[in-house]
Amino acid sequence: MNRLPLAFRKDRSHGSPFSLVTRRQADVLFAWFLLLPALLVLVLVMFGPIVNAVKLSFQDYTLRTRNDPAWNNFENYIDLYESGEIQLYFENTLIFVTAVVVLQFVLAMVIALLIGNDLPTRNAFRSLFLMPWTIPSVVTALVWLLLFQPEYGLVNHILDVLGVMDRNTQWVQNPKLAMPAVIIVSVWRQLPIVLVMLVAGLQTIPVELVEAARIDGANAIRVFRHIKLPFLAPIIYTSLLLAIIRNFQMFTLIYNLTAGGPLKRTMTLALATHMEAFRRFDMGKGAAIGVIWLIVLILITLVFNWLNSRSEIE
Amino acid sequence: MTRKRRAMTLTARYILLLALLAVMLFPIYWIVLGSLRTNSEITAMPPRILPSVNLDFSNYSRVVGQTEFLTYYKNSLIVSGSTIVLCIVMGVMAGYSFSRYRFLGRQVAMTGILSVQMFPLVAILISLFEFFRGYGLINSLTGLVLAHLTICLPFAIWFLKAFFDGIPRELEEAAYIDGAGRNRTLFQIIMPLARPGILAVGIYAFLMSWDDFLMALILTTRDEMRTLPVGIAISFIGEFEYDWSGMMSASMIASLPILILFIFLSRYMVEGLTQGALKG
Repeated sequence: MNRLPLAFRKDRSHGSPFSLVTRRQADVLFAWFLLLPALLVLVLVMFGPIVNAVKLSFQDYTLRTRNDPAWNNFENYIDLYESGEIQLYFENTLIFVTAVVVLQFVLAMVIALLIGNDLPTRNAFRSLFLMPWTIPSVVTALVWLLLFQPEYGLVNHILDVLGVMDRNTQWVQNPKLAMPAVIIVSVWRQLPIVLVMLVAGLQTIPVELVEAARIDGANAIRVFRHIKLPFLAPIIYTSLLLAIIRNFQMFTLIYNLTAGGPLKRTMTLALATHMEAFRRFDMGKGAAIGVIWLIVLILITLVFNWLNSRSEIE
Repeated sequence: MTRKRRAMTLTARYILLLALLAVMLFPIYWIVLGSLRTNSEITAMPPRILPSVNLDFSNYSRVVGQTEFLTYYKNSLIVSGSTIVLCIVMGVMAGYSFSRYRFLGRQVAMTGILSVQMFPLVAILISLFEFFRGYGLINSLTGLVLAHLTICLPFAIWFLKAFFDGIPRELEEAAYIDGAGRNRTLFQIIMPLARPGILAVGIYAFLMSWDDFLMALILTTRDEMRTLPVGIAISFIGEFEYDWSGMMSASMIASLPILILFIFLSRYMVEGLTQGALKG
């Protein structure tokens, strides 16, 4: 590495604004200069507030006490635990996230395998299946609200004709069916993302490999299990983690379909944080729910990374 | 496999795929249809799946004329447009920095940026609201742009870093020998090559910003500062009697920019979604 100051070097014409530092130092300065705007925004809008939220979660911070928030001896956490609220929110979130993620992966896998590698209209299918993802979340909630209406809603009409349920059945206001409803809507909107990933993953599989296996007498299930799945594993891993994080964050669809009700049946951690902080104005308690949620996500990510590094060693 | 069997499985695949596609696209059809019907037609029993002969376009003019709809639309366009531009600029700068330079703290910064996606957004908004209030950024489009940037930046930076990694370094060395400075190398040589990646990031930023409901819900309280998602939700949800046809025509107009984008640029959308994960 050239340690001579740039000013003493022949190539002074390169016009570095840092003419008294070495090229290496100028590179590092330039690198940080490039990072600065993005880092500044992320620190101010994300890292600052999350640190502050952790602090708030240990304080008595409501509309009444907002000018003088005081340390309250884990009161927010104890309260959440003893009232059984956090257990309920946790259970709801786990049901929601698990159902949405499993359903969208299974369905997307079926569709991706049907599209496969050899369909001439593969790209057309891939684009058309992507369309639900382009519909804004609020719009998605509205149209499904219409589809799920009792009496004149189309879902009820079809189920009524099929003799599955009465057309007067409530969905989003029904303690039993509200959760299935938000799950169905979330799967509908997110399925395209997973599908596109899986289709792209299938394209990386060499056709000869599958054909060779077929000639050797492997059936479709064995080809899937021993060739396609291992090839897809890295993509499944990445998109699975992203899907889990995305659905922990899910707010818009649930809020606009059920607002967390009825009887808190769809009150996930995200909805509960919002309710405590912005409806009841108990910001300390809201922050405490957020912190618990963050810890869970960090743990999930660590487990994922651990599993991934283990499978890479093998 | 015999030829006949192969043809049969192919037909079966097409039938299944078309059936699944019909189910997936049905809600979109229902929005279009609902926007062209009167409320009594929408709530008719049993629901009619096929459009009637006389379509009703009056819903559109009603929605645009009656509510603050055009204000919401303008706000959304300003916020999304600014988010796209800033996200691309900041994303290119940071992505290029991570791709080309090695420096102390690089790994920490990269992991930190990626971990932002895990932060519980609702909890962040609790303190962000207070912070923004202190700087007059509540009820301001600037505040919303800042907030939206944090949703798209982690993706933009990682995606563009992977993209720059695929552009050979020799190009820059040649530029350096020819006497181009660092700035010129980045903006005149590398940026044009990264155009497809920049396009994908721009689309992603637009989708995220246009779709955001949560941040806009908390960070705006005055009606004239609301963006489309919040504006639509507040105008239509929770009313005693639903104005379905108004809702569906508002939905149509709100989805229009993305649908247009989709028709022309779906290839880049797919690329944006997949490449990030494939390159990891």
